[in-house]
Amino acid sequence: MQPERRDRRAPQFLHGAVRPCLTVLLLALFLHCPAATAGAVSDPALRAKIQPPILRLLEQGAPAAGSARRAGSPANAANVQARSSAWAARASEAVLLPDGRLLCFVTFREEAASLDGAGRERLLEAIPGCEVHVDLAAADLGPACEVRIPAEQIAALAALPEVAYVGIPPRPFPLDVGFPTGRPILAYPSGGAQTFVESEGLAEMRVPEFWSFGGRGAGVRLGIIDIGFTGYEERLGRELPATVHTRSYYRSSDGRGDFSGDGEVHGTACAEILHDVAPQAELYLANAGTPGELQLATEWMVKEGVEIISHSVGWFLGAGDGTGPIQNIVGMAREAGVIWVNAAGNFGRSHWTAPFADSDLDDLAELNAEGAESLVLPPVPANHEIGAVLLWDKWPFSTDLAFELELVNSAGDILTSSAYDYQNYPYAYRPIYYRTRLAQEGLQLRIRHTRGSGAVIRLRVIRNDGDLAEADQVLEGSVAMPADSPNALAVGAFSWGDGGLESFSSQGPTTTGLLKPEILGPDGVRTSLQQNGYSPFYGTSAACPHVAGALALLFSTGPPGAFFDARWSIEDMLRALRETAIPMTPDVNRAGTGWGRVRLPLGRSDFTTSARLVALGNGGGGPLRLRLLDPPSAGADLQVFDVTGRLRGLLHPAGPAGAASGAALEYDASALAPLRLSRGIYWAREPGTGARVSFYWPGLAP
Amino acid sequence: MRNPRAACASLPPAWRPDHRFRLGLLLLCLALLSGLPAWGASGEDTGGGWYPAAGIGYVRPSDSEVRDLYPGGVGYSGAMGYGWPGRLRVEVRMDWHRQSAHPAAPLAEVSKSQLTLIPVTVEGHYSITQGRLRPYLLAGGGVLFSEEKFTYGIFESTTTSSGRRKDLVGVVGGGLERRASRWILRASARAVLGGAGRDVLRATGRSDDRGDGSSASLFTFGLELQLR
Repeated sequence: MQPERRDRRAPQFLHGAVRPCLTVLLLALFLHCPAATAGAVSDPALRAKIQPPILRLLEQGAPAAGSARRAGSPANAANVQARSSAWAARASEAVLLPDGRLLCFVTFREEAASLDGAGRERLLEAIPGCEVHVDLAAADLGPACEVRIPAEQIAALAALPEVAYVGIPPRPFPLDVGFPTGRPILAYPSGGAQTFVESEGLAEMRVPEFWSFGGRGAGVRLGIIDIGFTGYEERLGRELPATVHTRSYYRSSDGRGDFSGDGEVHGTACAEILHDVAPQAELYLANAGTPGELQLATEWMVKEGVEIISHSVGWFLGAGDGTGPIQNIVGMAREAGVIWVNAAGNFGRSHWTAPFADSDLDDLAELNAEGAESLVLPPVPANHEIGAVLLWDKWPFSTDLAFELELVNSAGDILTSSAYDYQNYPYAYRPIYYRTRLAQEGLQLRIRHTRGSGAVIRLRVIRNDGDLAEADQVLEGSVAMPADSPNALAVGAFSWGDGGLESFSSQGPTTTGLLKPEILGPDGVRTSLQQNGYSPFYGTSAACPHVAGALALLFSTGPPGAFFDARWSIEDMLRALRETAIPMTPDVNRAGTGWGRVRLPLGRSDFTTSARLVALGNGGGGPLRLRLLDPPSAGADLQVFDVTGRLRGLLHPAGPAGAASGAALEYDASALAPLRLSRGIYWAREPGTGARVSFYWPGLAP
Repeated sequence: MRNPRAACASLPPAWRPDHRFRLGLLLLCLALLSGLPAWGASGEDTGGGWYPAAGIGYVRPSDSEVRDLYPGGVGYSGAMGYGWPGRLRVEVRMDWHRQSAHPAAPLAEVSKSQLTLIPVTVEGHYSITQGRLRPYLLAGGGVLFSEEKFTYGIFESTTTSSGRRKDLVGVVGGGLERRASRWILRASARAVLGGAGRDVLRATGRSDDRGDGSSASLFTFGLELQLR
């Protein structure tokens, strides 16, 4: 009898199968174990307090310090076509700091409103590894802080009963047109002879003549706060001064952050233009990536005695009426005697606004008078990143009122929505981005009302990768923030070649009637970046440093003393710019062009205030009369503006002046009484000749 | 003999004499001459004690950039001192000098400035000889207070702003004194040596240091009357 042969295959089979199965099972358990994924949050109550990109980052596992990985977006490919939308994409990414911690902002419940800055700091820094980056209360972002916190402590932070929300800080938006991202900055220059590149806008502004007349800005301290200054070191002593003062608050609260801003060249281009216009001014450069970092950068510049700050950047924060957190930072600078010059924005063709309406109660806002519930975009090419932002005017917090921005295709399918990443976001700010694979037509933006009462709310949509359809474009009120602030000098753009207003240049007025932009600067100009294959510098980003440089030149003409150099007041310098700007249009509506194209004076005779229009009896008692000498017509009306440039009314001639005065018309200012103007300084202007005079209006008699 | 004009031309610009400098030298020479008859006579030397002094003279900034705007002029001085029997005395002294100018400002309709200099110093004086006519050396230190006021205007408005500085200074110099029973007449020359600086003065009144700038040093030549 033969021994029973044992079938050895079964144990081998089991041996072969069980081991990999057990391995897989253990691995699955490991991956799903909350403790194994550092910081992953499972409690729904806590998840509702944390912005989704942060949750995704926690679930993917926070990478090691120094890793460049981000969560929540497709990786930015080199040479993306749409510069601005790529920035919008990054605006929705959780911010990973070089030390591996996350940069978040934290808002507090109303019950915790009694906590002051020190109290908030104590509360937050009791969490291991948590550090307050900036307290945002001063910037009027409500009781809020930006914090640096290890990923594994996010749940503990959200669990604090005082904490309302943990989110991604809002990001700034550079206001250039057409700068590609991702293209490396080559050594300056790449082969060949070094060529000093100067902006063509200088000749338009009469800068070379002014150098002979009034100097080159010696002793003036100019600042640029931007997103990044990649390539600046190679340009020192050539395109930039030999020495510049730099601080980086980008991901840093001590000024030693990433000065390149993750490879951004925008600030370098702006600095070159500033140096072209005012070559002897001292330059202070700082970059920032959050409102808190902007606050720190501004405080540094104020402390250093910077006199002019140029900011070719927009932020989508604020109610559109000149108030908001960034506007508060601008106001802080102005109070310290710093003049803030801001690019007006490039949204003239990509801005829509209207009051909220939903007459059919389907939660989709009606976006035009015909009741259409979507903005149909022009055809979009393949591999194109669409970016857009929805804003509404409820500030600082909008936790009880929310809208979401959706991108849908022609079939009505939602391709993306701000609700994915911004649901429960406490601020009135909803960005989206979407990359197309194929060319598409019929893509639409629509606005969904998701929470609260939307009565008396104004909505705004800004597309930042291209134009809206012409029928949907709303030019008025398209000015960026903080250019809408009354404390900022907003700069629009004109083409240096033909002197025409750029069609994309944003316009006011703001919702409070502020005339914006005040002045235009040239764009489409050369920078040394063109030697690295970049296009000419278009956008209000380019225009802004031209005007800031002009102000520096003007400031430096104040009387020089022995131990002190006196500076003109900001009001006098703004008036100098206003007086010498070349008006673009003679008509009343100057919403897009302001005072006109910037130009430097070459003497007092360049100021257009002339004796052709005079105010009589003003301040000396007696009735106020205005007299226009040599009028262009017998019935020439005078426009009356307030100091913000807003047209307040018209004065009609009271009749010809006395024969002794020759050809002249007189105007009785008491005719302004029905307008109920408040007491103050006003300007009268004859539009045909541009003659203007200021006068004091005493207000209404008690 | 070397040509004095050529010798002067070889000096640094700050040191080249001008007519005011020559005036100061003349004052000093007059003081010397006035003491000639008493030269060598033994001077009365009463016991020490407190004394007041007052004087008038000429103040000249040493920095050529300052002199371009404020070339120099009359200054006044007052002092309170204590003298010991013998050669030594110590004084607390205050000078005052003011001058106006019209700084160049190409866009300004009005441009005026005024500089006031007030050095407050503590000086030690040491008489080299003892007699009715005594040369002496002085050295000390103190603070130079300066104020520069500007009145300037563009368009229809005028702005007035002023900036103030305090600079630590050292003083060296010498002089010649002629002693009488109740008074001492002194002719002195001083170098008040201070630091350099330049500030930007904004219309809001804020002043920002700009680092290197004009020197706060002065030369003063004066006649003082000290009561005994």
